[in-house]
Amino acid sequence: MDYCTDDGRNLIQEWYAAQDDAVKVAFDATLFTLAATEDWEAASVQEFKVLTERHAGLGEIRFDVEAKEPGWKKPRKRRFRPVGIWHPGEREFILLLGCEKSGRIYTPLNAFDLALEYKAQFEQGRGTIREHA
Amino acid sequence: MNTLKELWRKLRKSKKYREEFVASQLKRGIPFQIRTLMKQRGLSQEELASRANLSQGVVSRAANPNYGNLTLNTIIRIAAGFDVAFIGRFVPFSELGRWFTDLSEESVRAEGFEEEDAAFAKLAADASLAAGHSISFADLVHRINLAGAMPALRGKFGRIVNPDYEIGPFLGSFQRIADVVLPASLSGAMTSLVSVHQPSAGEDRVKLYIMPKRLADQSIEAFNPPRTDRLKEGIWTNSRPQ
Repeated sequence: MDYCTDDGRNLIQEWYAAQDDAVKVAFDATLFTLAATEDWEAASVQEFKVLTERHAGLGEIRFDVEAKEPGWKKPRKRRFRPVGIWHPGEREFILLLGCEKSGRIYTPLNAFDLALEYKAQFEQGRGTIREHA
Repeated sequence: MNTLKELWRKLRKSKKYREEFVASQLKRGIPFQIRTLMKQRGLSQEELASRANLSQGVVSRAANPNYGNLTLNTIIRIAAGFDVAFIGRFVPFSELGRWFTDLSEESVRAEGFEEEDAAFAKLAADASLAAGHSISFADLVHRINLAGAMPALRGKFGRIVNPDYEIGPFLGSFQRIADVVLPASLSGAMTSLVSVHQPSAGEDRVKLYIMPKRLADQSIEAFNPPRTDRLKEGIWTNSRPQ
């Protein structure tokens, strides 16, 4: 499911639309394999991680893409961490926004704080959720 | 977006997307299968590595969807570790799309050879008991009635066991008939009723023949192809052929 803000923005779709094909495909294929996975929290499942402590209630989808860039001899590994609200009992994940990780730096920088804000809005009944397409 | 229609919309957009999807399917679909088969068999990475004659590190990387440099040799070793086959096949995108949209832990289940062989041996033993298993026509109709409703099936069965009728057009009903008339140990997805011996005039016994469903699926058309020409003409909608 995708979260849409009060003003109708679907941030995950906006992020998706801005990515190149390799990232789009990797994200789609990761969602397919996750959809087929019964226990997302199993240690062997590397495509998903439940966040804890300050970010409890959130989860991140984890996938990498090897990007060939001019001037680089080897493909560079780009790490993506789209974040969302994890409801383990209901086996439901609501995608909030896209996120890329480089070392300890996340893009957007405040991705997880933003996600917490959207989570709070969702819990207040603000915004809507939509089937992910 | 787990629908074929939605995926097809994306595949249609660009050849680049299609190429990337094929690569991603291999990179992520194979680790998913490895993980799932390990889970279904209760195997750790170390145990699979030992069976596959690989190191635990290689198995760990093979099960990692972000690794991406899985070699054919590793896949072959891992298939050997599970004692299953691996099919590398060029397919149209519709097949890939269906495979991905139908993907589940159950859909990738693959029995090891010994497990499969034991199941076939049991079926063969059961089948030898059931081959020629005979049942009176009255009892058969009674069991079909007990199974509830299925008036169309009752009608079809009446024609199947009637020596004046050809059996071909009713092959599609065999599995449903098998489900209600075969002994419990033989019914279900593993077996298929592939032939009902038509009694000659005056006989009241019907003979049933079964075989493992997988074999039946492959051979049923060759065994007794339906008379589609007659079906098209609607001849079989009448109570008797003209």
